[in-house]
Amino acid sequence: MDGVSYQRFPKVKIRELKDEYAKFELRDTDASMANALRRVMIAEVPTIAIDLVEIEVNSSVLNDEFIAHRLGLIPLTSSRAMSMRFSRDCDACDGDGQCEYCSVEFHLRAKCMSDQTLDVTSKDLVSSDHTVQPVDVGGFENSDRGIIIVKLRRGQELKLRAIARKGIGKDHAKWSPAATVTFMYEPEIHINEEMMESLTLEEKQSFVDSSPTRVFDIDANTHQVVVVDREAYTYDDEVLKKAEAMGKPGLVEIYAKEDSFIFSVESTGAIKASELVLNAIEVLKHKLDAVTLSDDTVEADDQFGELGAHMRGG
Amino acid sequence: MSDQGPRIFKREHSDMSISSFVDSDGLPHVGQVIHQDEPYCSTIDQVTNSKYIYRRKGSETVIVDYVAVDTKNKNLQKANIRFRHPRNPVIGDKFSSRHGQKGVCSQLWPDIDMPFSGITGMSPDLIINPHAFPSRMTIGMLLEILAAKGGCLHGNFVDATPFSDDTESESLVEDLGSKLRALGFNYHGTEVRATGQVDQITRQPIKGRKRGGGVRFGEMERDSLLAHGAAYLLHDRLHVCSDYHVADVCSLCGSLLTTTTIQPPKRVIREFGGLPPTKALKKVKCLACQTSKGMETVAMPYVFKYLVAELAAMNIKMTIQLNSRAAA
Repeated sequence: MDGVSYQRFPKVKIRELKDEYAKFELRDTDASMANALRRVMIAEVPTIAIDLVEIEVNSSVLNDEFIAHRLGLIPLTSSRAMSMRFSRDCDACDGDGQCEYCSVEFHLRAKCMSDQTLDVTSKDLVSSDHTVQPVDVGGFENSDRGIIIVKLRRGQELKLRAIARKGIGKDHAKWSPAATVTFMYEPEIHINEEMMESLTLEEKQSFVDSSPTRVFDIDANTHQVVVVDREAYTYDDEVLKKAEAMGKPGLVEIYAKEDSFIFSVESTGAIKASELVLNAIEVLKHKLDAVTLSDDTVEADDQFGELGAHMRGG
Repeated sequence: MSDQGPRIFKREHSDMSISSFVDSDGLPHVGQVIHQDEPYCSTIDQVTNSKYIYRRKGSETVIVDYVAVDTKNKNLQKANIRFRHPRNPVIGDKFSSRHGQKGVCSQLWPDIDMPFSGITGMSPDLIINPHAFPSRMTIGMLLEILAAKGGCLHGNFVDATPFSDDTESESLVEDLGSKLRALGFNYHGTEVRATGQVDQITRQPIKGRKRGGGVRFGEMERDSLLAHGAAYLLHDRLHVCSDYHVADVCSLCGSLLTTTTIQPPKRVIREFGGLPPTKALKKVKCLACQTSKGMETVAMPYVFKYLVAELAAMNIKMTIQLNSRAAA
C-alpha cells in the first residue's frame, strides 16, 4: 500500500423529507456506494413483523395459512427494532422468541354478530407493547380503517394469538421497511445553442414535444429552448433520436454524472424514511466493521481464510 | 374376497401408534399437518376386524382443510377429506398466462437483485424472454400487458371487449400507446424494421436486436405467406426490404462477374430546355465480350451475386440465360 488514498467524502443534501418519503442527493461517490445503500435499505434494515400465528378459531372463508401470511405483511411501527434482539440469538428466552427483548405479542378476536359483513382490520390487533402497533394508514380515503385482514359474515369468528419478531427483508419481504428505494444518475444536459437557433419555432416545438417527460420547454419571450426539469429525463434517448431524425445530431448532449445520485426513498410506514436512511448507513457500517475489525487479528484467517491473509499482507 | 365385510372408518382405542394423527372415528383432525408417510385415516373391516391405515403418499406436506362424512348411512363408510398443499414457487415450477404462454421458473432472485426504474423505483415481479412472442404470435398478451400498465397507472379499468366499436380512436394499440405516452413512457418499443444496418458481405439485414437488427422473417414465416398466396408481401419482406440489388448481366456470355463500369467521358451534359440532363445510357460493358451490347439489368438478391463469386472461386462457372418475359 503506497500513500495514495482513494478516500472520498460523500455529501448528502436533503431535498424533501416527509415521514414516509425522502428525496436526497448523494454526491462525490460512485455507483457501488449508492447501490450498497439501496440494497441495505431494502433488504437489511430490521423491522418488526408478525412471524408466528397460533389460530384458535377460524371459521372465516380464508384458510389459516392465508390469514397468517396476511398478518405477516402488516407493517408494524418498528422504531425499536434496531435495539431489539433477533430471537435466534436472544439469551433471555433460548431463542423460542417469546420474551420482551425479542418479541411482541398480539391478540385478535373478532366475531360477526350482525347481518352486515364485518371487516377485520389491522386496528383489531391488540398489542402487548404500545410502541409496536400496526401502522396507522391515515391520510388515505378510509383513514379510520386499518388494513383489511379478512371479512366475516354472520356467525363467522376469528380468534388468534400472534408473535411479532425482529427480522430483515433478506429473510422475508414482510420485514422490508422500504416500499421503493431508487436512485438515478443526475443527468447533465447541454443544448447546442447555435444549432438550436437554426431551427424554426415549429421545429423547436416538435423537439420539445418529442420527450415523453417534460424536460424541455420554449421560453415564451425569447423563443429559446430551455431545460425546465433535467431530472424528469428518463434516459429514454427520445430527444436524441428526434435530433437525429431532424438531421441535427449533436443538437443536445446528455451525460449521466457518474458521481452524483438522486435517491427517492419511500417507507412502508414501519419506520420513518429518515430513520430508514440512517439505519441503513448504520447497518452498512456494521458490515464494514466486520471486515476492518479482524483486519490485523488471527480471526481474519478464520473469517476470511486466504482473503484475510491477503488483507493483512496488503 | 367373500370373507370381507363392509369397512367402516374407525380406529381401535388400543391402537396408540396412530392416535396422535387419527381420531377415534378414524378420520383426521381439521387443521392437522400431515407429513410424508404419516397416517391420516384408518378403516376397520366389520367382519374380519382387520384394520387398514391410509398413509400420505408423496413428499409434500399437507394440511387437512375439511372433512365431511356421509350421515345418511348409520355406519361411517363414506368420507370426504380435503387437503391443502402450501406451495411456494420453486425453480422448475411451470407457470402460464391466460394466453397459453407457459414457461418454467428458472431462477428466483431476491428483490434487491432485480432491475429497477430510476424514476419510480418499480422493479419487475417476473422477467419473461421476449423471444416467447414473435413465433407464438400471442399479440393479445402484449396488448394486455400494455393495457394493464396504462390501466394501473391511470387507476381505471380497460375495456377489452373484442370487435367492439365504442372506442374513439382508430385502434386499440393507438389508444393504449397514447395512454402510456401521457405518463411519460415510450409509445411502443422497437418494431419490425424496414431499413437499418446490413451485413457487409451479403447486404442482408443483420442478426440481433443489440446491433440494430430486426425480427427475423424465417422459413416458417415464409411458408405461411406462401400458403396464403401473398406473393407480393413475400417479395417485399425477403427481397425489397432485404438485399434488393440490380445487377448487370451480359446476355451474350451470361456472366454476372465480367461486367465493369466504363468511366463516362468527361463532358458537359447539355440541358434541353429545362429537361433534366439525360442519363448516360450504357456505361457498363462485359470484359469477356469486350462490348456493352448485351448488357441487361436484372433485379436479384445481392447474396446471389455473392454465391456466383464464391462458385467462381472454386472453378464453377455459372451463367445466366436471359429471356424477355413475353418469350418465357
